[in-house]
Amino acid sequence: MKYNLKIGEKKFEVEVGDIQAGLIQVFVNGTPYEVNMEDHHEAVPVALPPKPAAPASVPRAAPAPPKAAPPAPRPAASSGALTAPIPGLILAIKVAVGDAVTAGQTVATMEAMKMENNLISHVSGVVKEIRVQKGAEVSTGDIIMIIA
Amino acid sequence: MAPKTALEVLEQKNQQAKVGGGHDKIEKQHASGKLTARERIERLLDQGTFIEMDRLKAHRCTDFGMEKQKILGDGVVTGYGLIHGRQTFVYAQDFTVFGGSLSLSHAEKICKVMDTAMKVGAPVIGLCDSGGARIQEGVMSLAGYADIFLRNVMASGVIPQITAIMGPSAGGAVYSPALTDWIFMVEQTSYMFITGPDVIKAVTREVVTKEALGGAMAHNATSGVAHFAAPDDQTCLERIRELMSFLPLNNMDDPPRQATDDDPQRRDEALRDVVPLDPNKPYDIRDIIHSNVDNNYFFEVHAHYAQNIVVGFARLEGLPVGIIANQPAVMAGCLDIAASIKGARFVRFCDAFNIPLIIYEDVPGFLPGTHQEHGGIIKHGAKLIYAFCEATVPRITIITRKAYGGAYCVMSSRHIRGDMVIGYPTAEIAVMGADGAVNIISRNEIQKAADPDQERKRLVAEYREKFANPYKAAELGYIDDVIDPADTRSRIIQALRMLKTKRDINPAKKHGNIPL
Repeated sequence: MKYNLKIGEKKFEVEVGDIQAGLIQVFVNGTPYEVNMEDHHEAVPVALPPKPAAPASVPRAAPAPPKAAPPAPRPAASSGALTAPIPGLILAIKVAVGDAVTAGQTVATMEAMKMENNLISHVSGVVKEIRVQKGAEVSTGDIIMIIA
Repeated sequence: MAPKTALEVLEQKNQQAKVGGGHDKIEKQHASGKLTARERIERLLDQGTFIEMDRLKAHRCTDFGMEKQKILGDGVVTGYGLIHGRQTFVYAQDFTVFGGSLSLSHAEKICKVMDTAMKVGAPVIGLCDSGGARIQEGVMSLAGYADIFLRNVMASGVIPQITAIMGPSAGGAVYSPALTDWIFMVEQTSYMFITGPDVIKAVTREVVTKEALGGAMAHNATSGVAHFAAPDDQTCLERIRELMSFLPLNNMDDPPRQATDDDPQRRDEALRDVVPLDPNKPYDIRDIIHSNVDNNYFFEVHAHYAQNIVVGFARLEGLPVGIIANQPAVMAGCLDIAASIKGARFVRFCDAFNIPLIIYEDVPGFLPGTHQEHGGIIKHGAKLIYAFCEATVPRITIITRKAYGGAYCVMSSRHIRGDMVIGYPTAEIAVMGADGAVNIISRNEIQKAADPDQERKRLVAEYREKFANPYKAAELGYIDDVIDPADTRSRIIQALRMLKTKRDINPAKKHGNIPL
């Protein structure tokens, strides 16, 4: 779902992605955030990306302070987040931020079950963010990169 | 005005039934990218073969002014016809009539088709497009659902049952499809869920769209509830026709042979190089499947779900076979919860309908981790064992590379009544990979060695030499032969010919207790 919001003079394009285990992926002007839905009705940002474009532009609907420990990211299948399908070790990241990728392209490889596994992008788009480096240990569902 | 003749009265009623909810509603249906119930049946069946039943049936509700709103057919078109010249029963819900909602009469029409199909032993195809229960009818409508569920279960394993979700299917309506053998969904226009986004939001405050919750891809890729996703109605119906070409009409029938000019002796030397020499490198198991089957044609089913196992239909010498293959290109081809369930369901379908199974094995084992253990991999993995153990159709296994540990036992080994197990020269049939085994067996030796790394390497090489090959298993008779991969097609075909008259039975019982 996409919303166009105007707060004061600032315009925000907010896209709400998949919800998994209470975590929602929200894109604000193209920057991904993970938002935790808690029982008190209000959205709390729990994991800011490494390079937030303008932290001040976090939607006002999120007044509570960020939590100290961000929970492990969850898969957000259709929102362009490429996640680890299986626990293992990242062998290579084959793209860089800003690269254009096509659906079906191998964007990273990882070792799991003593085998090399190709990680394939299911969407076409541009690499927005890479969250893990070569040599990183990942668990199932960890976000490896965001392609949008 | 002269009174109408008897024939004119009939003609008028037929016309009324044909337009269903009226031209406005038909236009609306088209505008939303959907065909009408009648158009769908026309495209599903061989041209001009559809014979309608209960065209003039109407509902019997007298509450809420319903007695004044009767539409002949009552929101579902039912009958029989042919697909590839073979008898098939069909029902198609008509969204233009009361939103395709299910009344008792509507349900009775579906039940009649199912009962007739059971009597003659022919498949039932349901095309669903319904807003749910006819609320005006209350519990009568619920009775209708339950009547259908019972028939779905009684027909399970007797006649193939196929459902296409071509519009909404919510609440109780999802369970009849879920009880059938195959579910098709149309992208963008269909969705299935127990409770919709509004109820979810009210109860749990979770916000989700219909598409993300229960759209075609949600159920094809994430939940595994659906087996096929089609971009539109037309493609969906064509794919149902294709699936039907692999299926027998009932559990006493043989699957239909299709003439082929593909040489049963056809060799393919390219197969010698498909499996990489390095056991850590992936490859696409479908390259081997395509090469082996008639005209290189493989009809993959459940393709978006648990891609670490590949299942589908193909033909050998014109006869349908079910193929189940570990896929080293995805998650190393390991068996996890989803793959076990997907595989087990496919094996049981094929066994119920006399479709021989060809198993391609390259499996490093079950996926380790708390995620899997707490998710119940023990009971779900057991489903796959159960399904193979129970299956009495001809079963031929090709071990292309890894057959490790429990997974070796599971993938239709001879010990669980596999009829023929053939290894490639690259096969490694062992309790585990060389590294892992050496670390356990020779831990002390390695520790005591002057150069532990060197010693480990030596022991791994020794283990590989001794066990990471097909010859130990061949010596024991656990595999029947080791073959040149180029000959795979002819070897499978020879085995299938030999097994043609196979008869095997399970002990008489009320039913087994598959670990659910």
